[in-house]
Amino acid sequence: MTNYLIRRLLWSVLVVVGVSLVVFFVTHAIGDPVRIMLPLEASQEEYLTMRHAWGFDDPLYVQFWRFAVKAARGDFGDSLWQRTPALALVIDRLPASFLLSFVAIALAILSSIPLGILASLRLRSLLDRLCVMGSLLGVCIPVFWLGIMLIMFFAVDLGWFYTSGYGTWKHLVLPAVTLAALPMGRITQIVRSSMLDELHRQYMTTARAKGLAEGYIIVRHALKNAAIPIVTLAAWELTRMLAGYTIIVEKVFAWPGFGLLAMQAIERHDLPLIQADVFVVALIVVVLNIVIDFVYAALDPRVRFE
Amino acid sequence: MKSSPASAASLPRVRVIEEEQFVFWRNLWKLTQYLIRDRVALLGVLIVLTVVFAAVAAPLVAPYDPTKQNIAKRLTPPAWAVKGEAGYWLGTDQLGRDVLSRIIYGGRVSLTVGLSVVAIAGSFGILLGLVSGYFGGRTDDALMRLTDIQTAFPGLLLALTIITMIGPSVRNIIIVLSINGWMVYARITRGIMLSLRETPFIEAARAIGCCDRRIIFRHALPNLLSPLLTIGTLELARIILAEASLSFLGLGVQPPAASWGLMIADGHQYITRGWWLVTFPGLAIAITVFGVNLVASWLRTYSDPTQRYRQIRTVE
Amino acid sequence: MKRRETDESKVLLVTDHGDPGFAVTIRLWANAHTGATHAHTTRGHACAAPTPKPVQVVIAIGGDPSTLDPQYADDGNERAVNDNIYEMLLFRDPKTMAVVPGLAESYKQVDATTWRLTLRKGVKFHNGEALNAAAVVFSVKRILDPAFKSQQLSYVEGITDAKAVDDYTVDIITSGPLPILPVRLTWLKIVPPKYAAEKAAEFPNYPVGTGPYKFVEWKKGDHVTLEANQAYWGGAPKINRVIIRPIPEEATRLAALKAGEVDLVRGLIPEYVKDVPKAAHRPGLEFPWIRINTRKGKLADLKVRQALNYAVDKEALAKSLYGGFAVPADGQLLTKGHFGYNPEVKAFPYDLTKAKALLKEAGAVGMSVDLIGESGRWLKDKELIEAVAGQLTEAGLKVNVKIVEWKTWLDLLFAGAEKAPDLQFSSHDNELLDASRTLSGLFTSKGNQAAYANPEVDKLVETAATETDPAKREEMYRKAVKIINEEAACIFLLNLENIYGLSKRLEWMPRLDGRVLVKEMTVSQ
Repeated sequence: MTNYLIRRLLWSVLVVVGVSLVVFFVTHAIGDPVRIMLPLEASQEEYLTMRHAWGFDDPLYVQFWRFAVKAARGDFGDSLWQRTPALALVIDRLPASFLLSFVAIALAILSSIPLGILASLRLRSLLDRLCVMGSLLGVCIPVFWLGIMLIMFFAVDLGWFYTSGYGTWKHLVLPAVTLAALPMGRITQIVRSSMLDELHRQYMTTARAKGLAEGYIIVRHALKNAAIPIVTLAAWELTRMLAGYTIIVEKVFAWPGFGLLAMQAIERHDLPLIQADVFVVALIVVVLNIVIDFVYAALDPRVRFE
Repeated sequence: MKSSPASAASLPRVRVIEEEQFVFWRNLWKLTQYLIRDRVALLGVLIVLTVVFAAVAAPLVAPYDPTKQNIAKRLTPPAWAVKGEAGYWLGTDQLGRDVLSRIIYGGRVSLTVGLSVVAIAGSFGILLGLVSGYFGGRTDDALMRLTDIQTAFPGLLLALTIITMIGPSVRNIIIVLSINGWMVYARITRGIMLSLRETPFIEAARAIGCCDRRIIFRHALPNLLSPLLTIGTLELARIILAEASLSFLGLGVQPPAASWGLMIADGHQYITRGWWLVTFPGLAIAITVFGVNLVASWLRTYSDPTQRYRQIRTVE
Repeated sequence: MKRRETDESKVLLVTDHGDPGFAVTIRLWANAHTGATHAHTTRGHACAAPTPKPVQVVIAIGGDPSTLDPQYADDGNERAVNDNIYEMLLFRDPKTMAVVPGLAESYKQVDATTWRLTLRKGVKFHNGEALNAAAVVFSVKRILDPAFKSQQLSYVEGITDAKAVDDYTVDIITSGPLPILPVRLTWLKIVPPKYAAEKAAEFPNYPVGTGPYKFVEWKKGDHVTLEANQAYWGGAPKINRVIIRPIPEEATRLAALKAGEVDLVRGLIPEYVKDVPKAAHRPGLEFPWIRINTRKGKLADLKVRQALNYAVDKEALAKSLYGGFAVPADGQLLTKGHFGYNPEVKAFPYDLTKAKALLKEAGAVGMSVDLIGESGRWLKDKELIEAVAGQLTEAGLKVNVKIVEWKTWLDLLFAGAEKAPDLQFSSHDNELLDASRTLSGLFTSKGNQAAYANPEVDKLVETAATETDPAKREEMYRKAVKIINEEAACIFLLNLENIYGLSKRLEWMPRLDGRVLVKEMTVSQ
């Protein structure tokens, strides 16, 4: 197992380096960001001076070398747009992003697993139909629409929570619920369908024949056997959130998270900031996936890593 | 455990093929029969057919030209609502175009993009996941780390790059969303496959000398159908909405053409003044996904012999 | 989706069109050019109120400031914060927009390329550093230093150096005669030399200025807190604490205002005006326009270009699309407040029959033209593009709208006249309030955004740039404006208003130059 872990960590380094390289060449393929930084009225000379000052007129291999030498030391340089070390900017946003993502995924998992199980147990009942409809609605609903409706009702009309911002739990509730809606719908669907697969398996009948309590059978046998797709999807949703796909929620609720920063960095072609973003996201993805594989092995003895 | 016909492998090859053809037609007939009896599934099929028909026959169905503007009549509420105007059943948009007609035409883009991306990304992701999970070891390492790289790579940056290089169009949107959308299938497939490859029936198939390809596609894949159909349906909804954010940035559908997602994105500023701008395209997506979901869940039941048996009993 | 982070910074007119205030602007301006010094306008003399209750105001802006270095970025969100912390040598009067003394008490032109400024005495930065000639020299050199890579260079173009004469006298050196120097000095913010040089890494995040508000904290992406500077040279401001919050989503800004969480909202969309407790709207400086590639095919024909202008129903667009919070542009991309505005030039009226006839005469009926646009950068940009395309189609053209991503749009805009697309939508705002910025960039052969060239216009604009007699200079600009209009060098569209949402308790008159200065606000309660 230790060997396996070491191998995974080595591979992880490769992933982080690989994705950084791809990003470097891809952003340079699009072109330099100088025009984006300057006002429209800036003259051609100003543009050329600026391009030179930033070194965007150097040959690509020179720029690459400059980047690689610094990046190897963990220094991505200053953000072109914010003039502050890029990695620090990204790390500064992580607490808010982590808080929102983890609360939202917890909400989603805690509500969708019971719902999915109940729906699968009462197949074609009213409860099942409601669950299916509700979870599909959660999947189809435009996130910003849900967010604004929640703000209008709970923050403006009732005044229970704040419309936007960051700080207390009263700031957190609405964005977390909004962010949870989509993964909740998706996870409910996969729980229901995976449970349906398991409930009619032979071992269930065997277990029942043995006289085991129904609840015990469902959780210990069926749910455990159905766990792999559920865990994978839930982890996938969390990965996406941490990778910055929380952007719409961040925008609607003015939440100082990571997604908005990453998007602006891309729109402004702020290379150091994009690099720092991607570096952090790659680390998150890699670590999460190692954890998931260990969860697989813990849940299902048939899964083995050598 | 699963009742996959491992015994089929021992039959002479020719007979298997004959039987397969026969089975196919018989199954299709049975499928139709079950469908007619299962009202819920029938509803699903009807929804999907209606949506597809409306999109294909848009010029015949739509009451107005979807690109015809009338700024004086912008943001007219639906005909049946307060201050609505007869003829505009679902109201008009921010440029006075008929929302219903735009939804009907918009379905063309949304369905094309949604279904193509699910098909392309799904096939690729599933294939990768199957191979990765089945062989494990270094293959798994390499393929899954590739998946990690793609996951960590920002989707927006990918879209910008590809579109800058090859220009915006519906086809290119499909390419971008496919490249950015296969990872979830790969991860789910691989996860289940890791566990499946150690099960007795796969080991049995291996023991009697089945080739890997046959084991993967004939024996393992059918066991994955249920979660994959679910993911496919869910991804359809996501893709239809994702198309909007790209089109809104000028990376996809160009005006005056419409898509459901783009209608939502364009109408989002007017959420407090013109609720119909966002609501109806949103409903179009929801109804489509609902229909597809019903069909998928029925296909799932149908494909699982143990469940089909139950279903036949309950239907008959 | 892309934030319109620049548009929210755009500038507004305080007065309605036709306000005599503009006459004042131009007259005072004229004084400036002849080297006369200004009397110091009276500023709120703080009468010692008996222990006032602490008053806090929350302002919602469209996005987080990129940096709080006042000399680096070209960013309206940064300005919204720093306008309250930092100050310039010269100010603009909130009502008349005349150039008035700021950190400099007076200024005069010494020779063709030298301007001498006398600084206000006793002004201190928030950290105790004194505002003196050294600070001004440092600030000028800092922004001009190529290694500093300031994005604001185009605002201080023509300034080459600064020299200290004595502790409170500074000479600003220009590359040639620069009549608009005082205008440029209303832009340049003065920074504390010792702190900015020694703590260069901290400076962008912990600003220190001379202004009415002191920096307290910046939680990136969430808020910036400012506190009244009790030692402010113009008297301590009445509002004690200011919180500036970036709220990127329009609907959320509206909700926050309605819920009483914020007092002032920038960048309100017209549809929301009825929903806010109080709204303030003023004609703005934003001019959406469509560039015509006047060298390409049939577009080189004046008749076609006129037809394009006649075909657009500007009144309808202003009334419906912008809910009346816009007016048709007066056949030029300038407002009455701009130096060089030509009152004789009028908008092309909407005349579809004439447009069709002109197209027929030119043999351009059914001609296919590309219209390049972007999305999400300016208020309702995409809708406006689609609406104009619809109207041009009606006149008998085949319009291919192409909404492109911002970088592509920029590349096309600066591609040069040969490669310019047939039609390209853009939006122009001239924050310096002087026609030179508009005309030279957009309509001369050297202009980086120009797809139109006319030797006569070139000559007028070039001579005017160094003409020291304001009357002559203005005449030249007016002439150029007239020619551009007669030549239908672009499609003139609208002049947009800017709309603010206010809480019931806040009293404030938006400014022409779009600065949000908290010291000018009062809270009734």
